[in-house]
Amino acid sequence: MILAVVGYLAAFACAWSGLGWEIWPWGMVSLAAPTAWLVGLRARKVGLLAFGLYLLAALAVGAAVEGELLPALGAMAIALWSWDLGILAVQLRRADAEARRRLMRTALPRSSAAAAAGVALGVAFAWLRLPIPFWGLAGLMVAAWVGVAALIRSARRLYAPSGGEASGNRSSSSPTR
Amino acid sequence: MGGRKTTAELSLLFLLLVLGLGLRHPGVVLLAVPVAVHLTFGLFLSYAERHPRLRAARTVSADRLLEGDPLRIEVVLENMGLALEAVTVEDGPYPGWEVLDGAETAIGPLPAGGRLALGYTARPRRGLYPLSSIRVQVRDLLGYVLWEGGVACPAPVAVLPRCERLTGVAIAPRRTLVAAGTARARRGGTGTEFFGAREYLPGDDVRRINWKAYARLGEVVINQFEEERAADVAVVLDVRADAYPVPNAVDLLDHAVRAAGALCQFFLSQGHRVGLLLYGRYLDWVFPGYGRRHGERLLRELARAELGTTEVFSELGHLPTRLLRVGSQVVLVSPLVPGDEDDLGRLQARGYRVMALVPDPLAFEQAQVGEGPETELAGRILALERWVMWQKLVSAGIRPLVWDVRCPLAPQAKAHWRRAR
Repeated sequence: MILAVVGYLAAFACAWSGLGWEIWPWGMVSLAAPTAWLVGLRARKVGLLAFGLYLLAALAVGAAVEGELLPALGAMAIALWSWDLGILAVQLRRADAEARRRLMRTALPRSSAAAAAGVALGVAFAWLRLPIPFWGLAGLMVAAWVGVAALIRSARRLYAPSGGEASGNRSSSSPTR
Repeated sequence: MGGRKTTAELSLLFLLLVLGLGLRHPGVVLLAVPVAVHLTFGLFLSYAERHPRLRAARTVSADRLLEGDPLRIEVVLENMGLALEAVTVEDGPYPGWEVLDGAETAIGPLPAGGRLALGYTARPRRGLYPLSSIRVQVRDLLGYVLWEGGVACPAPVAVLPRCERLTGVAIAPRRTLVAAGTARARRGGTGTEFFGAREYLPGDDVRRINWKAYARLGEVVINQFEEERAADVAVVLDVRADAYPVPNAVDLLDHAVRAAGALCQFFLSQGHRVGLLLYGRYLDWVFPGYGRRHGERLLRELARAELGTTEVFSELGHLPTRLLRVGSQVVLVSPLVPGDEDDLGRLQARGYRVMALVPDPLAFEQAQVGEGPETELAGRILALERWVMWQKLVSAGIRPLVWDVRCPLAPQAKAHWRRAR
């Protein structure tokens, strides 16, 4: 949970540095993002965590529009990393300390690798100068939508509940009279 | 949660793309790249998960116990398929159960062929629990895909009401059975209570000759004793929600259930044929019978008694008398509501012998709300209302036993029935 908070605050600082806003009023308004995140983590509400992620993405968009692409990409990647850890913290709220530590240790490198790959690819794309027409980009977007939707649908089908094999046993106490 | 995470990231991805295209700003479109990579990476890794093949076994320390007894439950979940990254096993929570130690949930990875166990001790509430399955959630570590389902592992448990042992309950129904018992049969024969005297007939036992009467009258007369026989007893437990107008009505119902159970056990031990009717939520009738096995059946029926409301059974006047043998003993366990006294009087007038055991809702509620001038005044007004009800019952020939549930039933019942004789 601490990692999720620290990560989110780092992402917030990263995006805010790119924006170069004054403290008043926009700086204060932007505090809604970490507030939503902290409340979401405290109350264990995934909806609030998602809201916090969206607010941070909005700040990153602002930074990108200002021309500060690297801080914006960094903020986005760190926010996604914190989002993973935040979700995991909510999922494991009832786990014992040992299980939580073990699962966190496995999840951390995986999430870090995904975030790092995202930043690296984003920076690489930023260096590329490809003339893509508007409708080509729109077509790519539709194709990506269809591809990801197909992936999710097949994953859901794979995980459709079908019950499980089971065996129950009675207690060793005396039978009911 | 798995689906929600995917949806959230997918929405963010397309919001960024649409915004980038709308603003025609490549920087904003590029922000979608980390999101796309993150989502694809996560989905790709979760895709490696397979459909879980799980088997569960549950062990309980006892399949029959009384209220207040601790119950130890142990569940073992075994993975028959490939390794699973994060598995949550949950048993319960069951309403009204008090967990004494252990946890009802276990979370952890489950390697192929591995086991995940959970164990806890609880003090269950009265009821019949099939304990048919456990809830299992299987996720990938980053939470993109979730499998959720129940894995069957039945181990039924019956938590029966804890009944007191009653003594001295005397009944005198108008009709009795042929078998010997303890109900006064209103006819001369063998017994312990003096019934009358009649002239000696050949074949009479000479030990029963009343020598004093012979000395006075000059005729041989013999003493007769009131015959004691078994009887049909119908115990009616009132489960109308309206009859329990107190906070924590379920607790008052528990008292009523214990009282009904104690009466059933007592009448069975005296050799009577006992039936049980749960009246109010639905018509739940256990046909009259004898013996310990029947006693167990009655207790199990009482274990599943719950409060309910239906228009059909809103008044005691709708008591299905077809189920009750004419002239038999009817024992009603109910806090009673105004109007019930008239219905009970009518029942008594139709030839049934009615006995009413009233778990006092007033005393029960006073114990909960505490003391104060307003409470005292309200209590006095309610006590007067109920006193009028008791008077009507007495005039109909029914002496209600009003049970202060803060004290044990047995001594109060013994004193009440001793006075009634």
